[in-house]
Amino acid sequence: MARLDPQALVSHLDRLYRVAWALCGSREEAEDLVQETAARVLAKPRQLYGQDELAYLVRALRNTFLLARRTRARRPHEVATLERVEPPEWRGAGLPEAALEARQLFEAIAVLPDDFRQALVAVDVAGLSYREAAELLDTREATIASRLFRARERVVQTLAPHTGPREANAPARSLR
Amino acid sequence: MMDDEMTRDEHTGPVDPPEALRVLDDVVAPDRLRLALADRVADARRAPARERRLPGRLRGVLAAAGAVAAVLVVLGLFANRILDDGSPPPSVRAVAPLALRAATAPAPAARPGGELLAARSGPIAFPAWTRVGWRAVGARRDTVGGHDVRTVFYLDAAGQRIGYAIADGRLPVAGGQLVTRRGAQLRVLARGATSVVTWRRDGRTCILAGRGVPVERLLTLASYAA
Repeated sequence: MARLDPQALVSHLDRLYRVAWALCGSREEAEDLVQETAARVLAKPRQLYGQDELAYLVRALRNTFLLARRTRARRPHEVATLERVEPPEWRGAGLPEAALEARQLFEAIAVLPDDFRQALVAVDVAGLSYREAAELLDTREATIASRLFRARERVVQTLAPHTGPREANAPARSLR
Repeated sequence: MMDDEMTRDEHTGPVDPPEALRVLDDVVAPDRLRLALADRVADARRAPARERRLPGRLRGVLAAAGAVAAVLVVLGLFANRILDDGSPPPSVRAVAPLALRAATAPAPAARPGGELLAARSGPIAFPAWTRVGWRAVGARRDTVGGHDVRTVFYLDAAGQRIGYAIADGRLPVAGGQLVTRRGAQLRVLARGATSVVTWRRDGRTCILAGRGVPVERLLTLASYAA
């Protein structure tokens, strides 16, 4: 039985961070979520049970997120009020408007209904296949496809609120 | 025609995500998270090697691999510092929010005697503060601009929460109000309901912060720790 190589956490860090941000809607909470997930995953050797490393880690991240959300609902929310206002870390150079667009996109994803958000995060942000996403979310591939379609539609509409419905629905339209 | 395509998209196989979503592919994890994770992974790789009783030869190979990994991590950090050369160190105001964030690790245990915790930043051990009404409830570790920042969080009986962060280095701080308590030079920064007290000790920067906690309480605690 294959074991998870701890180094996979580092290899997939950028993707996990994006998934965490899309789930939490906040980069600070995303950092904490990734750290908590790493702490849980590294606490003992992990068996992959035939799963891809990324799929395993995304599942662990999601479970940690759901656990944290339940826990947080029982205690006062803590907010860092001396917050720095920074753009997201960015791979490209000289693209502040793209960084801003990413932040708005994460915010748009975070306010999606839970089922839609989870489908979009699993496929479009984490990069899982429909089959892997269906296993992760314990549903059928067709349901994933349907939720994903609606999630994308809503995100595009949120980012372009003044666009007409037909135009906003176009699946491959760039907002830039 | 478009409606037909949308129906197919909705109910059949995978399609590419909208171009608007591709902007996310360029978002990368911050360096502080990358370094913290590399530390955790390095720790995790060392721990099983210590615990398991492996044949001597295999143990030697693993030890060598661990040493190589540690050297690579150090070289990576060094390279990162070189690449960052010229950028100013983070300010106290930039690091202080860490003392208000959530814990990512359990609270350190108390050391014998009960005055100090089994957590330190260089020569400075974190205080237990149980005798003055606070108990440690969690901890976290971050890297900000190449500086290691360790934080312990405390809670009092009324549920008020504070964070005590220690950064390895002298971080710049501007503004605020200078205050002396029990001979210690402290600086108070405040914004809204958030209070921050900072001071220097042993070449490090100490930061105590809390929301809704009176500054005087922070100053008293800081004067014990400074």
